[in-house]
Amino acid sequence: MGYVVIIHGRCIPGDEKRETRMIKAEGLTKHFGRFTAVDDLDLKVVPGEIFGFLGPNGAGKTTTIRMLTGLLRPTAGRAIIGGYDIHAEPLRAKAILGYVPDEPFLYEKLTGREFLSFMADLYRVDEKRRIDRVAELLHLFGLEERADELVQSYSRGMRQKLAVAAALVHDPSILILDEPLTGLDPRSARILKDNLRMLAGRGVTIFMSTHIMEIAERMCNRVGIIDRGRLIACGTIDELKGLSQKDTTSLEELFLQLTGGTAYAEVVRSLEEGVLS
Amino acid sequence: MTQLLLWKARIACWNYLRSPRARVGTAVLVLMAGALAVMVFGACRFLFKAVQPVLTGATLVPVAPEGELVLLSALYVIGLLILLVSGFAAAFFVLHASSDLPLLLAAPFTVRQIFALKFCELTASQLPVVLVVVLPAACGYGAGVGARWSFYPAALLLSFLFLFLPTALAVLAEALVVRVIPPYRVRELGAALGTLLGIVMYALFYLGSSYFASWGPQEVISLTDRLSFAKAKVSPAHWLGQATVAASRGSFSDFLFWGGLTAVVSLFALVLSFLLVQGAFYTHWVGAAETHPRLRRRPLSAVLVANRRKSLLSLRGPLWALAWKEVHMIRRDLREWMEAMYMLVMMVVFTVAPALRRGGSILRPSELLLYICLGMAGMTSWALVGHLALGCVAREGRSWPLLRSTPITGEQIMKGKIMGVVALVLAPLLAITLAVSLLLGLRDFQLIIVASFVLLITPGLAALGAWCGTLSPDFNAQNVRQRVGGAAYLFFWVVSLLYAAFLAVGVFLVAEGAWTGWRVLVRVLGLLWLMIIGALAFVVGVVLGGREIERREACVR
Repeated sequence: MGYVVIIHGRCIPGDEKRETRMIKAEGLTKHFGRFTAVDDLDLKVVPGEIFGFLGPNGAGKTTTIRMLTGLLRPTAGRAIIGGYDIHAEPLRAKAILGYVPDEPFLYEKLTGREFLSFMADLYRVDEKRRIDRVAELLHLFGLEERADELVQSYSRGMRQKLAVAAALVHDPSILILDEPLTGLDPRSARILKDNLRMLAGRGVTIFMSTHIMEIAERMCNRVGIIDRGRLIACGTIDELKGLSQKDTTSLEELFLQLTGGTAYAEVVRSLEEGVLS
Repeated sequence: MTQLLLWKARIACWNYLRSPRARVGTAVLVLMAGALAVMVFGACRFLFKAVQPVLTGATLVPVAPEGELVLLSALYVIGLLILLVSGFAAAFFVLHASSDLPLLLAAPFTVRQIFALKFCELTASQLPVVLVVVLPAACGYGAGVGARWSFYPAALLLSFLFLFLPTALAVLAEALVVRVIPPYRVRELGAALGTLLGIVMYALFYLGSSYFASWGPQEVISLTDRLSFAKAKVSPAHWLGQATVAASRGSFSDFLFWGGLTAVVSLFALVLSFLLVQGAFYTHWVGAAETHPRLRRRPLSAVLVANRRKSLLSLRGPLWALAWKEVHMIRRDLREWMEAMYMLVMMVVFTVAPALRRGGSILRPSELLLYICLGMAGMTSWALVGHLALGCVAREGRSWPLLRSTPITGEQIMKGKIMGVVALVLAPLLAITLAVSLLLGLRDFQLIIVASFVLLITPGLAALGAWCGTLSPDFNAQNVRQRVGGAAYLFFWVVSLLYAAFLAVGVFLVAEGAWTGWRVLVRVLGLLWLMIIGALAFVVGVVLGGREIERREACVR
């Protein structure tokens, strides 16, 4: 795709033509009192791309995602979803967006099937399509057998699967997923990964935060690393590896280098010394 | 082990009281408990003082020779039942809903140590009930019969015996219940039963106070003949009653015998429950209800057919979806039902009780009857709809961000939720207000006025409630009563009073109007006024609530 990589600055891919399915953040900033959670973040994710958003705990990943989905109002900057500013035209932007939150808090008093139907209705999916789509998603994520039980009785993994299914129920053209693989069993994780690849192949734009480096390395076309609210690196895996001061072979090594690897090494050393003494 | 116990005590007391809000809450609770203890003491003192002259032969009123003991046993049965209910709730929270049990089981402690700690917690949690209910009752008895000072240490000792038997039985009952019903249902069931108990106590207090106020010694004595449940010789309540009577009469050997018997039986039950529950928890025998219901599934084909049929009949679209979801969420939550019922009983009793004569017949000032019925309808509607609407945004809980990520506006959320609440309560509300109006003596067309009044004011009231609920929703609240902050609740009161003031004009016109002559115009004008005010309230509630939702960031902290 011909990406341009700039460290500690802007992350702009080469192809800027297809705005309708694009995720764009322009100078996105969020302050909570004196604390700056996200600082002047610029990025673009183009259609058909899977963008991995990485960062240590508390780096600002979830805050960024909440601003991109319109749940948080940015202190400065804009979040543009499919050509619509999510805060100026929230309904248009949200209509083409599928969102999986970081924690699968769902309606406990609805059954799995009711929950998916409810979500489909909110997105105005037509009657026939809704019934077929709900059945299809329940089958795909192995929830069919317990689809008529209350969500209250579901395990965390089942809730996560249901949350992912709900994000897909209206065939969104943009998907934003916050740690989507947390709590999923290997089969469901594989199904979700295959689905995301298939959706990207169809031109769906996917923005995904994850802690699992291996997934980012295998699935994502591009990766952005955020630390203390600032985007410190962005590009394809190979481009990022090329930035390393050492001969880094894995994304994990690079991630640790960029987000405080020295401190990590010192902690390990002191732990080793403690064990030996 | 001792260190762990001390840590638990420190967390429960000291660390909890570090927050100023918790300190204020605890102070209020202690004051209320103190007031309740004084009430129990006073009531028992009155009861036993009333019986006393007869038993000592001061008057010639005939009485059963063991009247005092029967009365005491009956009170102890009530005390044991209260402790059994509170023990059941405590057992659920200390054992099942406890967050530290898995942590403790993974720590280097024996299972016996861990459960000993849990039983200590359980017993400690029962202590306030003993101090507020049982001890004042025993002391009230002592004061009533004029016991010597040596009775009171004995009463304290006997009160502590109350701790063990109900706790042991509650723990066993709870383990059995959770074997049959999943824990999340038990939580709701417990809350529902607690509220039901509250309803009964409230209704008894209000409706029964005038009934009991006219009682004298004769009635108290005749009551002892009817308390057959307290006469069983093999009941712990009877043994404790015997021990208390013996202590009051200074019979040390009898006190030791009956007290000792109770202590031995109680300790035996406690040890038995300790051993059984330990095994049950450790082998996950109690958690079986989590998996059992999954086996009782409907065939998939039936489910699909039912779903298709349902979808053909149902109305679709975001507003209807929100309304149906609201209906499901309220309908399937026992706590919501019980809370609604509590509010309903409270308001009906509150409005009807003043219209009752001391003997139970109904006052019928015909010129005021329509006013009374409209007032009752308004207040009942306020209690039921207001409560459900006030918490309707916070009812979303932690799934609120998910709803806000969908292409739905704040106003649509408000409308959908109000539709759900109104659709659910309108029919029962009409039935109750009409039934009470009939009971109070309202007839014919006047009933239609009451029904119209309810229909016209309810959507507006729900909208105002929902708007106030958007001002400070607590999406993390587990308790249905804590879904909105105190300020929003007070604001709802103010808004309701304002709404009531506007409605009062319409009520006056409707009540002063008639169905004949020129006064028809007055009545029609009144109904029109009610309709306009109701519609305005609906619009104001929806618009302002919608704006508040849009204004707020949709994050649950």
